[in-house]
Amino acid sequence: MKQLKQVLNFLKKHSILVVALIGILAPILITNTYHVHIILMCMMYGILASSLNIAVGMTGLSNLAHATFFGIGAYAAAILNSRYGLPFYITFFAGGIVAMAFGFILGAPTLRLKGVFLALVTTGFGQVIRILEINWVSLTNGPMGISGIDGAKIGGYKFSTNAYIYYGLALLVFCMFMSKRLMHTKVGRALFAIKYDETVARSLGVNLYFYKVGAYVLSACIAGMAGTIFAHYVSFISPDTFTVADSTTVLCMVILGGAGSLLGPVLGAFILTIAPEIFRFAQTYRMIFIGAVMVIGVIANERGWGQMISAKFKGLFGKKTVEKEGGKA
Amino acid sequence: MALLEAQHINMFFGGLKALNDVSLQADEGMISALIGPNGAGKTTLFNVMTGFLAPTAGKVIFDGEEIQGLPAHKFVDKGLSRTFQNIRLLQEMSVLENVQLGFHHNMRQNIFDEIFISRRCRGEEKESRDRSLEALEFVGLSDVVNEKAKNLPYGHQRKLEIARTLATGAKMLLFDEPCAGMNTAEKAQLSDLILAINQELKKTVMLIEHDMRFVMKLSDHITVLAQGEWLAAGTPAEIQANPKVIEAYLGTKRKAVGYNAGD
Amino acid sequence: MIAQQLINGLTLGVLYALLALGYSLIFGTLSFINFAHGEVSLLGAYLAWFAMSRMGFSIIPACLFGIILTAVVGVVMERVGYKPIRTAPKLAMITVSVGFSYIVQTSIQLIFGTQPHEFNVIQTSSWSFGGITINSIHILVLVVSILLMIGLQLFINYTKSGRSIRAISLDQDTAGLMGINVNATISMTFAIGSALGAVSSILMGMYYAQVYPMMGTSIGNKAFAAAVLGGAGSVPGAMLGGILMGLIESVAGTVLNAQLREGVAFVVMILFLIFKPSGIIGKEVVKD
Repeated sequence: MKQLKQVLNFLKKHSILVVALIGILAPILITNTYHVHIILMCMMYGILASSLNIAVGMTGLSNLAHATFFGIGAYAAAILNSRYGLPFYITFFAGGIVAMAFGFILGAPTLRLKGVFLALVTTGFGQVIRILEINWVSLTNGPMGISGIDGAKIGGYKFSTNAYIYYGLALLVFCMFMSKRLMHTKVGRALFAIKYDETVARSLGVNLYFYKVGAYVLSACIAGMAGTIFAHYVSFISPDTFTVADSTTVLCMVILGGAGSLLGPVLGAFILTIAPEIFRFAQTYRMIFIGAVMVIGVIANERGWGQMISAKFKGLFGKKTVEKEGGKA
Repeated sequence: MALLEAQHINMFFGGLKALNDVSLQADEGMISALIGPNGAGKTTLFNVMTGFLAPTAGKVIFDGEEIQGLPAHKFVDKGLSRTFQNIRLLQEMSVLENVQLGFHHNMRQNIFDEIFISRRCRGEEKESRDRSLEALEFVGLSDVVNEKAKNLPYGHQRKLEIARTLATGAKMLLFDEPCAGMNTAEKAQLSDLILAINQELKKTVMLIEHDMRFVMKLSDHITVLAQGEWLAAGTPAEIQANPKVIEAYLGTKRKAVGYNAGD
Repeated sequence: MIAQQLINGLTLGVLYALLALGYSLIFGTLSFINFAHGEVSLLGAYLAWFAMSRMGFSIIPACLFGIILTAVVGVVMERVGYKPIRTAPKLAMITVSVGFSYIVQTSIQLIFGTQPHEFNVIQTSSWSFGGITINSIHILVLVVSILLMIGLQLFINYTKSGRSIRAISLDQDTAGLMGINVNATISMTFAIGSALGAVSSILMGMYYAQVYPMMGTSIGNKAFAAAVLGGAGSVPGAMLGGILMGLIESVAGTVLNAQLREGVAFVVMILFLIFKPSGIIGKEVVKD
């Protein structure tokens, strides 16, 4: 038990280093093409979870449309690249800026709403964007999607899959580093204050609206940048690439990993990306798996994982303990 | 000279008149108190004076400047900081972080400073830390700075809330029922603390309080409200002798007793 | 032409209203939007279809079978999923409900197949006058839905259980202190909500003469938009919101294609949340 705690403490302290090491070593050790693809997906979901954590975990804002920002970034990159031939190093930032703009469009009028209502607005936003992607054929090529996006090139170097992974890793590490810096300084304190008690935050001079919109825009921007990496990597995107289900899955990763912690959401993303692959679920079963993880995981998380597991262990070793379940209901 | 002045405040909620033409003054460097039977509108007036409510009519003047209707987060910039009737701490955050939040509005660093660890960021973070530790030391909490706020005993939580208002550097501090739920020893400590804040740190203080002994001992000037209206104002001696005040309290004896029981 | 659209819109509207009632009842008691409600309701239509086409039930017992089982599923979901985390942040409850919606939707696909099933159960006869065509399904839908809504209003306002539901939606803790059985009442709202949802989806199946797995999500989305439009938590609001949503959709349908029509509900909902989050008849305060 004590060693476990030491390990956990070590992980907490050096979480960025740990993630960086995993990210650097994994593609070197693993060569199977499909597995490498999954590592890339881990990076993508890791970035999504880590950036969503800024809005959900640190500021306490609901967001059920995070994958939509990823999609907006990807579409921006695809359109700029296939229409205007812009290279990756420009679309990367352009995608981030476009996603940021949409984050502002969504956030500015709605962030005065609380909890459930904000969740509803974001759901609606996700659906509306999806419907636009399908119907605005002249811009997005509709349900057919956009194909033939150039692979990323910087200078004369054409990205291999590993290069995409490292690029994604760099963005992930940057996002984590930024979160860490924020957590220990003025902005992060203000965000957490908003999460825990808006009244107090207001009384201490925190401009709630500014910080909420800021957190939203920042989190959207990073998701959009991740989207551009993905677009150049797969070279084909369609409205089906980013669904409402992806948004909720990312949210689940953040909640299960530990909203507001640095490493948690990223680990949650890694685990939930890899787990369905290990079991080799078919697409239909995968949705049941994700649904079950959401239900069981979130309930267990809210009731306290530790307690539940330790109660199980005590049960296994014969000591009877009085269960304190159902006390609060 | 009046530092904070409320002039003819009306506050209506729908048809309910919570405050009806209430005025009060708090002079610079003084401890003033706001008292009145339950439901007199004291906390409502506090909320108006700290920006949590915009008055239906009337002016709030602080340091010669009209401030009513400004967004609440601007009030601390002007120099007004408050505590809450039921302690409001950020329970999951450390004691130090709670106090550092008080210093928030004095910091100019932005997110880029923070990411790139600029000199401004380092300087301001250090200053915020130092100022917060100072405030914590002043209230006597310097040995629990890294504890989570929720782990502190009740009395310490009150002090932490006060330390937070000190860290804001505000000229005037408003305490909403600072000694609610405290025992006699704790109250004595608290009144010493408030006196020290007033005399050593030269802060102007206004408090809402129900404990008459506490109020009479501490304050230089008292305003009495009853049922949303201004009733009397004066020194503690004047208030104690004022027949209207006595009537407001004794005439509604049942209410007063009920309040104490419920407290 | 316009009159025909109004009739169609009204028919769709009362169906949305029935479904929206479920969202609103649950929002009233637990203050969250149960994203699984659309899928669970769809289960009612599938079970009724199954009872009729595979078990040889006649129409009324088959519908009752579907409705009752759906109510049971709703209650089980509440007991298993929402009761343990009632005091948790609402985002956790929302996530759990999304999880349930995936589970139910995928189960429907696995058990009943991904293809649409024909749901052609009653003989339709139609009458035309003055350019308007009304068929028996229009009438069935309107009569059943309106009767149910009146019934629900009476139940909420004039029975002891109805009073408990209202009390809980005002203040759960106080209601509990006053001797109201909070757990039983919340389960009851889920049972009623799910049963109404099942009726709505069965009628919807008859109206479109088919059932398909994505139907729950699609009508569910519009129904929760309708619940927000009317005022989340308000029973008359849900009815009004549903009917308005049906009318808006069928009028919009004259100018927009089917895909864009789906978006209208969301745009209306977002606009309402921005400008009047309490909806048409909702409680004034938007609390979290």
